[in-house]
Parts: sequence; structure tokens; C-alpha cells
Amino acid sequence: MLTAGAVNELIRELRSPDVTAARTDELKSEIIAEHQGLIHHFIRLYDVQVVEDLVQLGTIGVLAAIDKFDLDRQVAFATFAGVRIRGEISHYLRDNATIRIPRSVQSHIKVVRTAQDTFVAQHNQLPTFVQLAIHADLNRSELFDAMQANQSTHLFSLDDPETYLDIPATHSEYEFVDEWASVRPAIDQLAPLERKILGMRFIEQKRQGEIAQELGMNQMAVSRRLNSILERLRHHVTAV
Amino acid sequence: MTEVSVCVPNAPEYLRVIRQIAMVVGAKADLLLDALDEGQLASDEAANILMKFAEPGASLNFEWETEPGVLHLRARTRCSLSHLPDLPATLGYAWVIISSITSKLEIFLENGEVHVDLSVESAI
Repeated sequence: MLTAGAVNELIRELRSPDVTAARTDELKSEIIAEHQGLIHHFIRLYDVQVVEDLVQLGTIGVLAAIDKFDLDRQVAFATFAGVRIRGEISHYLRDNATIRIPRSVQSHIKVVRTAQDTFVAQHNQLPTFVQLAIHADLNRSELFDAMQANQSTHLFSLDDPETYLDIPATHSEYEFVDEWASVRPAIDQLAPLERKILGMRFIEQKRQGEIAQELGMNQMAVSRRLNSILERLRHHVTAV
Repeated sequence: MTEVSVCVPNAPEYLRVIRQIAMVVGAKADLLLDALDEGQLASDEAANILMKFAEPGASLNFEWETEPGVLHLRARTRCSLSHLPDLPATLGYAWVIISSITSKLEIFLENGEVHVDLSVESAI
């Protein structure tokens, strides 16, 4: 792994008027290879299955960063490149999301989340469907649509604070339970928060409401994460 | 009392239908939100189990029943097996999931059909 100073030297050489085309390609490849981990880090923060496309976009982000990086500023190239990588990926996902949720339903999702949070704060337990409909002042059909849309949304924003939750431990128990063997590679690909949620639900046997409370999340967010995780595990099993 | 029964072809594209029906029926049982979610998940997993053991060309049958706070599902399909294999070993992580989220789970062969009977309930 190169130091920040070494990366700067590569960029400095790249911008030298004497550099050959072959050497330019070589230097760019080296910088891109050096930042593959960073690209994958940002891809993992989004919950998507089009990883190959996003690696290409992340690479475009690195190339753009190479062109625009100011060597005189006291900022590591990786920090600057991270912003470009994130920009490329988030623009792509915003423009190419496979499921577009109507604005009215999006606003209902927010209303439902808020209503659920206030209900839990007041009653110290999750609402039932009917209680939530009353609390959110939505009819049943609107609530169905909002809940289904919530489950269908498998993109998680980098701005979502849950993405940055500090997860102190992973569940090594997976290694000792035969039933998880077929999906171990897929579990290894999960973000720390996702491994934590999976372990809390299926190893510690906690209910979604308890997980939400413990992690400071909303139950709908836990539900959405769990659905997404299980979909990926199933996808892994059917793909192998 | 049977609330809803449905028969679908053995194809993954119908899983979404199964999940949606489970949600509607679970809402009628006035399940807590997490149980409502897990009623869908359990129905989904039951469908996957049937798909695994179904005879070629067999359709999948589902019947949901409710009582306050509880969702019951009886699912079945034609199956040519004479006995079921070791379920935890065969189903792997899917077994862990379905057995975790159900308060009752029975998977058995009867009259040339494999049955998955399960219940999901709100824990108050």
C-alpha cells in the first residue's frame, strides 16, 4: 500500500511534460489499483448488486480525481478521490434506480416512520398495522403502499447516519453453525451493520423492535435491511 | 377460518404475490409490525421450500388463516419423494430463518404432497 506522499509522487510524474503515453497508462493503472479498496468501500455502503458497473464508475471517479487533484493542498489524494467516487456512484444510482417510488409514497414513508417512532416512544412497543394507520393518519391502502415501497428500496444513502454506525463486533458464531456454511461468502460481503443485524435476529433471536431499539434505528429501517440481506443471501445460494 | 387461498405456478416470479398476500392477511390479523414483516418472510420461505421439493409441473397451494395477533399458513404441493431429507442440512440457512421466525413449524409428507404448516405471532 502506497503512502499519501507516494501517491502524490505518481500524480506529479503523470503531469510531467516528459511522460510517455505508455508510462501515463502505467501510472494511472497503479493509482487506480491502489484505490480499489476505497471504491469497494463506497460500493458496500450502497446496498446494490450491480457491483461490476459501480467499480467502473468508481474508477471513473479516480481518473477524474487524478485530473483535478491539487498537489499543493494539504489533503490526501484518497480523501479527494473518495468524494469523486461517491459522486459518480450516487449520481448513477439516483438516475438508474430500478424502482422509482412516487413522491406521494415517499412522503408517506417518512410520515409512517415518524408515526412509528412517536408511537414507540409513547407506548414502549411497536404498533400493529391498524394502530400505525391511525397514528399516521393514513388509510390502509396508503399504509400498504408505503410499507411495500419501504421494503422495495434497497439503496441506502451515504448520508444515512445508519451507514456509519460503529459496530464493535461481528458474529463469529456463523463459523460454527453448519447451516450458515452455504452463505458464508455472502455474509462476508455484508457491511458490519448488516452482519450485526443478521446476527442479532437469527443468532441472538431478537425481534426487529428490540434490534431497532438497541441500534438506535427505526423498525422499518431494520426490516428494510433484513429483507435486503436475506435477498442477497438467497441470490448467493441460487447463483452458486 | 381460511381468509385467503391461492394456487400459483412453481416459479420464483410468484414469490412477490405470496409476500403481498401474506402482508394483507397479516394486517387483517392486526399483527405487530415486526410480526407482519416476518409473516411475509415466513410465507416466502415456505414457498421456497415447496419449490425445492415440488414435482415437475406441480403448482403451489397456500391458505392463510388468522386469529388476533396470529397468522397461520398451510402450504402444500405435489411431491414424489417417499421421505423428506434431513431438513436443517438440506435447507441450510433457510431452515435457521424459518424456524427462528415461526411460533409453530411443521414440514411433512402426506398423500403424495409436501406440507409446510406454520404460524407467526406477535410477541407482546
